[in-house]
Amino acid sequence: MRDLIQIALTGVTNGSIYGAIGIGFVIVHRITGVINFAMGDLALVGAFGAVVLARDLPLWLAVPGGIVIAAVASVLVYLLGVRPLRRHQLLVQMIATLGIAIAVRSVLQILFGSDAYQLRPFTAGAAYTLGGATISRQALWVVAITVVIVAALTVFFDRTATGRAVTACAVNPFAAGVVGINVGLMAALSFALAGAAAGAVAVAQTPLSVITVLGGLTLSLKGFVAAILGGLDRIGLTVVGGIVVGLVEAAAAIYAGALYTTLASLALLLALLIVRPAGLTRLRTSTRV
Amino acid sequence: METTSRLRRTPVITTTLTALGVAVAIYFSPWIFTSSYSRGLVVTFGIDALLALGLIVLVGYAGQFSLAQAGFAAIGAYGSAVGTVRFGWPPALAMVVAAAVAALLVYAMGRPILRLRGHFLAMATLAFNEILYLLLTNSTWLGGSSGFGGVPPFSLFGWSFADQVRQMYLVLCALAAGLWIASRIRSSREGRGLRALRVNETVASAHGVDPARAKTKAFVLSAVFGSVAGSLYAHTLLYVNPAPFGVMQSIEILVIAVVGGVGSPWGALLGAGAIMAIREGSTSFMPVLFGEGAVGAAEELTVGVVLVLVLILMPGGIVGALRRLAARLRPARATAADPAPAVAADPPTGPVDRADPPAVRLAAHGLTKRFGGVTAVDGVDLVLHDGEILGVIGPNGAGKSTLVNMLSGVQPPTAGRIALDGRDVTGRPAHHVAGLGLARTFQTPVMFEGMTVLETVLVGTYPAGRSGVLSSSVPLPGAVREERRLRADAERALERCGLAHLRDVEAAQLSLGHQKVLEIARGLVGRPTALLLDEPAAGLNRAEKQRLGALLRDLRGEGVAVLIVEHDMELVMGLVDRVHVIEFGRTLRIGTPAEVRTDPEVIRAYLGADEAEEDVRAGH
Repeated sequence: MRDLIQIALTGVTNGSIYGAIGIGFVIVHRITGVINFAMGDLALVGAFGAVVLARDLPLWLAVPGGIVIAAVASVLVYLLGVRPLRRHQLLVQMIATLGIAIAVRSVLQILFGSDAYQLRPFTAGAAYTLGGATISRQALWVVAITVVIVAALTVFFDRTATGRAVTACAVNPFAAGVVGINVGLMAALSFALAGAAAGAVAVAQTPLSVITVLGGLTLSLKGFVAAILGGLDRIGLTVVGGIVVGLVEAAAAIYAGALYTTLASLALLLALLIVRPAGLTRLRTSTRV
Repeated sequence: METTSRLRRTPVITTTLTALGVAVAIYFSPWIFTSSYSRGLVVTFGIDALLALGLIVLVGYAGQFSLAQAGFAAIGAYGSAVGTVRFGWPPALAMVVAAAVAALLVYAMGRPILRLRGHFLAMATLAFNEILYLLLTNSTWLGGSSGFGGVPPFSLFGWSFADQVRQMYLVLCALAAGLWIASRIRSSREGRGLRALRVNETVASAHGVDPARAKTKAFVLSAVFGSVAGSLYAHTLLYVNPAPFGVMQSIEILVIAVVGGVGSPWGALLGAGAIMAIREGSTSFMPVLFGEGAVGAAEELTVGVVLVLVLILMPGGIVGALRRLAARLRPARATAADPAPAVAADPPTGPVDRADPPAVRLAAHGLTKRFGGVTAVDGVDLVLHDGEILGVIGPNGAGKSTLVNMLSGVQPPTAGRIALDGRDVTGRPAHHVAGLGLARTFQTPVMFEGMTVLETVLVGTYPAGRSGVLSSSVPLPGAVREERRLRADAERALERCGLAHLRDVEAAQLSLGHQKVLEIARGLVGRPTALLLDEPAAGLNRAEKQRLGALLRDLRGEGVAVLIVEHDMELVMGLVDRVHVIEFGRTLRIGTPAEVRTDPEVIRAYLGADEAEEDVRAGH
């Protein structure tokens, strides 16, 4: 029983992280069609930004600072790698994000080496216990931040004029351009939002577990599993997908050993793509009778 | 005829000369590369190039990319090592078994994933490579992260490739064989299908190419290249460990392919050479610039930056840049030679009188298509006979193109049935319908980037051929014969359509009128029994329209069932046997041109007569 509760707590915490990274994939994919391989590395840029800022600034400034850095870095990825190639095939744009991912990772490595970095927890205090299982205060921060991200993005896309303009670009970029929406600006905005969302959870999880520069790829892959579970389209379902990944991993860690956590989520990704690429969404059989 | 046969010779001579040059280069390589260090580099170069060559088949031909090329090399390397060391198999057997395992794995993974649109293969292969890497590093049987040694040198028929010179020969010969196969496939039936697919999946499948199947074949082939390269790696290093087979190595192979240029197999060689030069060059100044500790990261940074820069500044890679250079040096002669096509004064033939009632080629019943709340086509019954030209006319937005899309399998109908030659093809994909003898053209001509006029027409011969990837890469005599036949067909189709003088021009550079005619040539070259033309005359001048009319009459005389959607009433009324009028997705009238022309309903639909004004307003 204690194991099960622990799996649930760890799974939801880590799952929130994967879900938010997955949201980054979803936003960018919806508007540009690109799968941004640099997503996980951009999240780490935010986390490392916060770590550096926290050396001289109070945490309440360093954390938003880290998020802003991730958003700016994400827009730079768009401007330097994706936008110049917008007339090329998606294939080319995706390969470019891959190159950027490598470049970002190696710049981080040159700056920070291979050491592990950590941030102090947002709020001090002992971990809560629940039926013998524990959850730290910081983990609650991670979950709360993900909830805020989902709520904010939902309101943004559904209720604001700008959000609807972004959605219009997602549905039909040509028509959106015709009615006077600046499609390029909206794509940049989507990259900014994706960077901010991924950066926010990466910053929030830094006090929870250490970060190293090499974690970006794994973060990308797990976030991508969440995004696939959300059908690469739904923000809410992506977080649910993230939690599924988190739970699978937590269960694998307890019952099979630490080695199998990553293996489990990778196998989940392969299986999903082969068997159920629509994820948790309804399979788009649409026109076929 | 004289000139065409002479022109057809040239590629053979070029191929022979190239093969001869490669053979000489390989033979004399030990005299060029004399030091042990440089020979080691040549072996590495050969293996890198072979890996990248596999990727070029996937990226450049199929428009997909894989991040598991190093993983497939791992299957080859570990397969060869386990086979020879643990099971005592001869190296050649181990190599073949490993490649077969890689092919099977890739088939199982690729077939379902490549059915999806988009680039999910990249992520799937990334996951696959990571899984493989984790398994290798944690398998005690395979020696974990330190691997195991004792792999014998490669040997075949008693020949052992033990010393460095022989290893160099081995790797270079394998690379040459790979180049041969990749170039053969590029200009083969399947290769053309893939390259068409890369540009436009809908159009390619309307010419009979099954997208998922074709892409899977390319993926399997690329993995086999990877596996063989991995086997060679194991047999030259005589040792295997997981380190060289990680995701980062897969990405570097992709970089080699992109830098060299995915448009040609030679890109693999140029890319491997360029990356090797960059790497050799950077080892001297990197430590100075970044300090000893950051050399690895700095190298990766270079790889990432080079990748992005090449994509943006040098699309097409080194091969692309060389081609542009060559095009600038060569005087532009091809486009200049555009004489007015000599229009053969075909006597206008009327409908052929027949005693027997013509057979029904294509029949649709109750055909309906809804897009959300909009009903584009609503319960249309349509019959198309052999040796008949049926005109489908109607105002803009009447649903004519949607009708053609459904008949050709490009869009599945929401309701209704379609039968081609008596066989039910309702909801069958376009490539299936095309395989049964239905060809079509598109309203907006789609040209395949980088293909000449002749190659473009050859794409249309896809349903008329059978040669697969293997038979055309060897090539088997049957495949050679078939290719010759398809080429003759293509030349004849070009001549019929008056495009023969443009055969070697890049198709995308033709005028709109020529492109429209080329679409028709591409449609009729596969000897279809039914041909659907979607506004073929739009953009044609008067002479071209006359020529089009004569061509369609000829096809009718040969018994082809022709359906033509057209707005040019003069052309339609003078050409067709029957007219099918559609308005708001419904059949308004079916009859001979004379009947339809005087029909008050049709006149109302077209001219919006006074008494029907409210209908018109409701319609718009």
